[in-house]
Amino acid sequence: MDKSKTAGFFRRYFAQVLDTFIGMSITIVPFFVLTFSAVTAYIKSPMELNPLSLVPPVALLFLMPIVIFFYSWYFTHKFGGTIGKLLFGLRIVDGNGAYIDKATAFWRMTVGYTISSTFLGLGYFWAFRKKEDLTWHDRFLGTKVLTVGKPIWGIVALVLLKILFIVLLVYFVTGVLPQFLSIPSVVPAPELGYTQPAL
Amino acid sequence: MYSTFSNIQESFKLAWKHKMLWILALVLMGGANFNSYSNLSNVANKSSDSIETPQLDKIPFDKMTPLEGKYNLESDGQGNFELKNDDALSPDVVIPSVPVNSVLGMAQASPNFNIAGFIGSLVIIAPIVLAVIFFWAAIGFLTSVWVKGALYSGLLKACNSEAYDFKDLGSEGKSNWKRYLKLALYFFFKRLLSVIPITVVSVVLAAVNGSTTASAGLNAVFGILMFLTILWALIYNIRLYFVEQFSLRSIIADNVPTKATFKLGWKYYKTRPGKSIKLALALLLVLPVFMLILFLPTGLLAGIVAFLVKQEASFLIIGLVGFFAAITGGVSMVVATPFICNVTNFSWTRLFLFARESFDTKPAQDPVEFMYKPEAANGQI
Repeated sequence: MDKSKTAGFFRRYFAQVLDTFIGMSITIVPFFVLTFSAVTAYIKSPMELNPLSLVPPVALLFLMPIVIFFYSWYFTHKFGGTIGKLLFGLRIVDGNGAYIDKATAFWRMTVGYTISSTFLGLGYFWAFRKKEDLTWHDRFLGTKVLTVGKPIWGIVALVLLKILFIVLLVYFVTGVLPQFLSIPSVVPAPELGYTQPAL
Repeated sequence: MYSTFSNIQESFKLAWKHKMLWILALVLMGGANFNSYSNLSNVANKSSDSIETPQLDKIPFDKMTPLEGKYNLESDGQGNFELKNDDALSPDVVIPSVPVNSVLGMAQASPNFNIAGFIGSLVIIAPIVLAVIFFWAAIGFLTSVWVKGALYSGLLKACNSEAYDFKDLGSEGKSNWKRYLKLALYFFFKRLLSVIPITVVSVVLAAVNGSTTASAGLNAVFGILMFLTILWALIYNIRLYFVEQFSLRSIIADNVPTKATFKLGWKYYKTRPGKSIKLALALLLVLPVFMLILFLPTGLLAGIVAFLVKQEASFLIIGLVGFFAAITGGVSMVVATPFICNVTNFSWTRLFLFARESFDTKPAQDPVEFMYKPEAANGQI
């Protein structure tokens, strides 16, 4: 195996982080936006609770992981990796250097990742061993991850997404949370221990 | 010469030597245990009646914060309060045009609950949630059948002292997953069929009991019938377990179609039923004892923590010993789970090879007249 072409652990790790951020930005962020808009509407008009307004965020939360699964499967087979990997200049190939077929891509994402996750994710850290940069799922499925370009676009995307998340967090803390905190509090019922006459 | 004791002894050695197979055993066993939300359910299940406020009983009545004036309440001097009027309860709370209960305020105010909307949202959400659960369950099932192919191939190679690596196991998993899937479905339906007699007798018994002409004698007959069907199902399922052990290995070793694998499993079991039962009982005795020994250090450390807590020792010492106990427990669990699983797997594989060898030495009793037919041409499931 040509050592100079296989991707190291850290590059693969940051590509995975970028993929996670992309996944979060299309799953968690819309979920929070939809949920908070529904809850805000409820707070503004507490007597008009509409349960249907909670359907989109819940459906999104359940369905998006499946959408991401199929997207990852398709991209891995068609383009040699997910967006995170592509931006970091990585390509998943088989022993002959070609993009992996559909079946291998499927098994790599299901069985492969499950195998690597056992023993507290030891299979991922196996990439450090013997300087082959191969994880357990690479070894089982006969795949390898090659570097085909510079990781600059991946780093830029990662930084931009990080900034976006920080901005969203700041907006949430300064813009959304105060709305909830300024709600008039419900008057507490008399403390426990008192007897109360029947009304 | 084969003996149950030597089989288990050798299986311990093989399981320790072939650590690569631990990975597959762990995946097959389900890997992680997702019980993290059990605490939440415990909290959720806790009845509001069980919330105790013992501190309230200790406060003398005259020391309690007076509520009159501030909350528009009037005391009768006995600890009972009544509202003076129906005005807002607190001057700093203004909730206009809302039907607020005069005592409990917003907490008691009932919103216009949209029952149609609630049912509508349930109708939309429930199929989505079920479909998603089904999808991930299917993925998990496919993963397990793939891993079976790789694991049983590795077990057979290890028992035959053949060399193998990650890629060999992966290739076996990839090429055999369909047959393992079919076999899993085949055994599932066999088990399902074994429950049918119990269901039929139960339904008839319920119908007889429901009718006015039911007699004690009839009930006794159905009771005996029920007992017999349950006993039969139990024995059948135990035998099916033995057959499954042989069939799972036969897929790789004999390379025959799925249905033929099932038949082969029966034949292998029928040649060595005594040894199969003996092995199962021996494993039932040996493995729990071994587990106990393996978790002894964790148990001792947990005992020391309990003792230190009782003695009111310093938090630092308790934390330190507790930390070591957790680490020891975690390591024991990570090592013990796949190791024990593979001891069982190796024991059955060795028995399978022994049963298979006995056929090879007696060609007259050829067990597989249907062997070596390519699966695609065979047309069997």
